[in-house]
Amino acid sequence: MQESLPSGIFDPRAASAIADLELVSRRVAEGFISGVHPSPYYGFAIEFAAYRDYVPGDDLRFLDWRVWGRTDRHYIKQFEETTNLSCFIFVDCSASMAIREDNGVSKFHYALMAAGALGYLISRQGDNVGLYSVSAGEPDYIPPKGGRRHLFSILAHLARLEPAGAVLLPHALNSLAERISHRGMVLLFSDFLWPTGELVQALKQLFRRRSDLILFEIMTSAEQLFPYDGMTEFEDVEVGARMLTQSTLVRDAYLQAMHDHRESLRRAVAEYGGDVVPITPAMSLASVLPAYLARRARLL
Amino acid sequence: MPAFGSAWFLYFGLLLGVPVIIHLIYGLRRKRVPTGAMWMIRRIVEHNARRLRLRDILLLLLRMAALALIVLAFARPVAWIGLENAGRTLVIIDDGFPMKEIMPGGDTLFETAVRKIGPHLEGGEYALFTLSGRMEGEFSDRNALKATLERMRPCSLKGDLKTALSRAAAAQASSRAVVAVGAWQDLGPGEPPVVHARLGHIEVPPRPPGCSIRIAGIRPVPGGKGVEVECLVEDDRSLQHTVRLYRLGENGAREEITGRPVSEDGRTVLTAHNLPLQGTVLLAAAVDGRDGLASDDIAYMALELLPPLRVGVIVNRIASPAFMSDGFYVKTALEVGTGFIVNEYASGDLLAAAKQCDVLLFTDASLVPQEPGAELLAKGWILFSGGGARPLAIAEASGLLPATAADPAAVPVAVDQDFPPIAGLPADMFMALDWGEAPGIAAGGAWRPALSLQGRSRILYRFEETGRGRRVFIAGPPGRTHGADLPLHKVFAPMVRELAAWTGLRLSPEGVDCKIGAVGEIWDLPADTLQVLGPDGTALQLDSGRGKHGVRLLEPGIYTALIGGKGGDAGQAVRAANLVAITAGRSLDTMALGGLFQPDEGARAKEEEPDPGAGPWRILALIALAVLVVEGLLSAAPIVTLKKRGPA
Repeated sequence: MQESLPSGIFDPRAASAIADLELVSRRVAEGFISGVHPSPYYGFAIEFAAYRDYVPGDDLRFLDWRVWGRTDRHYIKQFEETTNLSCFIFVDCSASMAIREDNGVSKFHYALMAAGALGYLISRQGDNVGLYSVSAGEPDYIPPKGGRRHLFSILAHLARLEPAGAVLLPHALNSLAERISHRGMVLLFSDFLWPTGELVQALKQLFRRRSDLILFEIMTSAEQLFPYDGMTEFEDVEVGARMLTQSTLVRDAYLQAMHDHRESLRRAVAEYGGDVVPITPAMSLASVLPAYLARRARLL
Repeated sequence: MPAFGSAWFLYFGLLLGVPVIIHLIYGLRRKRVPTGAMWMIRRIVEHNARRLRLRDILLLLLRMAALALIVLAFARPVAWIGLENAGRTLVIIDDGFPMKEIMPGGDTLFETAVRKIGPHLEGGEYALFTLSGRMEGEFSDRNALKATLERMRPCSLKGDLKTALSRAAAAQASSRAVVAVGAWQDLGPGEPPVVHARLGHIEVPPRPPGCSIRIAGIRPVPGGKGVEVECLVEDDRSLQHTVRLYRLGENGAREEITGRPVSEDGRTVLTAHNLPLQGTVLLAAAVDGRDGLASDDIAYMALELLPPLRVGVIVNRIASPAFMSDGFYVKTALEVGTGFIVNEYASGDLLAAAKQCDVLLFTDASLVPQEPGAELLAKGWILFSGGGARPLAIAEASGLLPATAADPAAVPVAVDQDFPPIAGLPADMFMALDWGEAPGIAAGGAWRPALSLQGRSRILYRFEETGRGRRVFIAGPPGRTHGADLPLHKVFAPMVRELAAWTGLRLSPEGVDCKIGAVGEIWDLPADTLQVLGPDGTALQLDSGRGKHGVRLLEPGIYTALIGGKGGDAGQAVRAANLVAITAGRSLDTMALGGLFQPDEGARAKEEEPDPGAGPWRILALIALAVLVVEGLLSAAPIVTLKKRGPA
């Protein structure tokens, strides 16, 4: 299978590193088939949940005959139902995602690799995977489905994406929220460099869809540490605007603003039970993803 | 106009453009960075735009200020406040003939003087005064003055220091400093401090340190031909010496007559048997082969005591170290009004004048057999200054006085062997000068105080009729030498006054009185320390201080810089200072004086170093440094980035 996966965006090492893990939704998911995720409905699966009185019409297979024999009363055994979920992979294809780390890996490429690995994991655990990528043009939307073929098509689509132009990130998130019809999981890959207030409002729209959000915040080291000296002309790669300033003089203020922005984002997401996973392209994907998944599994 | 010690350094003020250029270059040398957080950067920049701009301008100004302060510091501003009233610096340089003398290093005295002036020129305007009166003028800056000084050469004439100093003194009221450099050999005894300085510190010829020799008496050998010369040797170190007696032989050669080790009590009597007195010139005694003690003091005494007589002074050269003494005698002779100069270049008129003298003073015994000595030896009074013996005694013993050979008893005896002891004073220090031949002197009177030396000792004198004539007796405490220790003018001034009253002699000119009441008096002190008496008698210590010759405080309102540590040199400086002060009739605000002195190489090197601590420019340098530190603290954009920040 690996040979047929699109090269460049699929990291076999990362995929193998997370192969034994599961990405489980913290929220209940509305699926159609049994899966690993908690379902809002009681069903007849493995996990015993409770007894209830028999009412005519119940399936006699779930009648507890032992209790009937001992007590002469009819009880139906209920089990917790698990289900599969629909997972959306949201990829920010704005031009700012093309900024590269010192090692030459761009934020966008890193996002694609992470999305590919997690898409593979989700598909492998039987969930539906969908894709929503936004760039300067119309967003690309692939509805969530299961199956290898669908996964391949998503990966192939990811491989074709190119970062370009400006993206109104809140607007894109709102659009995504409108497309989510029932509970599920949303994996967002972006630098989330957008004014915090608007960004948080858009994320809340997703949370209102009762989705489990995982924000993969991909920023370069330079964006985080601002390692510039002297006169620096900053160029907004999305709109082409430039600003010349004495970077040394604004460094402290930038670091403080960046810290405030990320902290606000983290708190807002945590308030709704979501996660923010800060990543730099300098990190090894094969270590970042397993570490996060393991930590998430422990907290479930 | 502000005054700067190194005004040329102001050209470096163009460096003020450097920060501006750096600022511009810094702005041009930008690097472009793509970012996705432009909204964040824009908000920060817009929020802090005013503060950032102010900081930028402040940094630029600080850098320019630091540079300006550094430039100003190196330009060495002399003063910031009241520059308009600061006045000029008077530069008085001795360009007299003696300044042509070549020093051991190969430079002339004048070149050395010019070099020594340099460090004292702090800036501003200058007024130059010279002994010769040449090339005097005012100069607007230091370089012009230095150029003039470098063009100058000593003149071939004797300078008139007093006139020059008078001119300088008249001009110094509006001046803030006086720099006087020279040998000042033309200073005469008419200026009291000169007398002090000379008597206290000029020693010609050299002698062993700490040792002195005096001839206590010369007398004919009883019952035989020849003389006995009694010598008194004093040595602080208690070393053994041999005292030798020489005579001036044919062709001026020096011949040893006899020699004998000094006895334990320091007395040695040398007997020269069969010495033909007639035509013999004793060169006095010498210690360990060195020349004997110079008898400046004795000659001076003689001159002062002989104002009614016509005194001729015979010198052999002018521009030589010995000229110090010779010039002194000349001046003294002229001062008392009857002397004149005869030297080897003397014209016939001078020789004729010399023949009219009652007293001839030979400053160098080698002159005696030379012209015009031979002709002049017939004179009745001949004094030798170079021997250390009492002049009259030498005259007597040498047989040059016609009466001596015929009747020794009739010859005035210089040293009174019968001098009565005075209680409390060691008799061996007494001396008596015969005054018997002077007309109109009546003996009498008790011992009178002539001088009290700061309560340490005193000098007494009296006139007395003796069996051999009228004499003046001077009694004083022991000292290394009479001449070196005693301010003789003070000894003799009252004495001469009394003598004048006693004898009815007219003193010419008004007299030695003028030597009393000096502004500063220098006693015989160790060579590197001078004690100066101020006008009110306050003792002021001059400490040459740790081998560095700088500005010394003489007294409030009087400053002087003594360059050189030797007493003679410092004395000259002080006396020149006093001269200016006396002439100006006021105290000097600031006076930097430099005598010419040959210090050791280390001291010379230190001396010639410009004093980095002088002037306010050091403060400026410190301020500039502080500004740079502040700039470094404030600057988030250092011109030189020592360490580039990288990702953590």
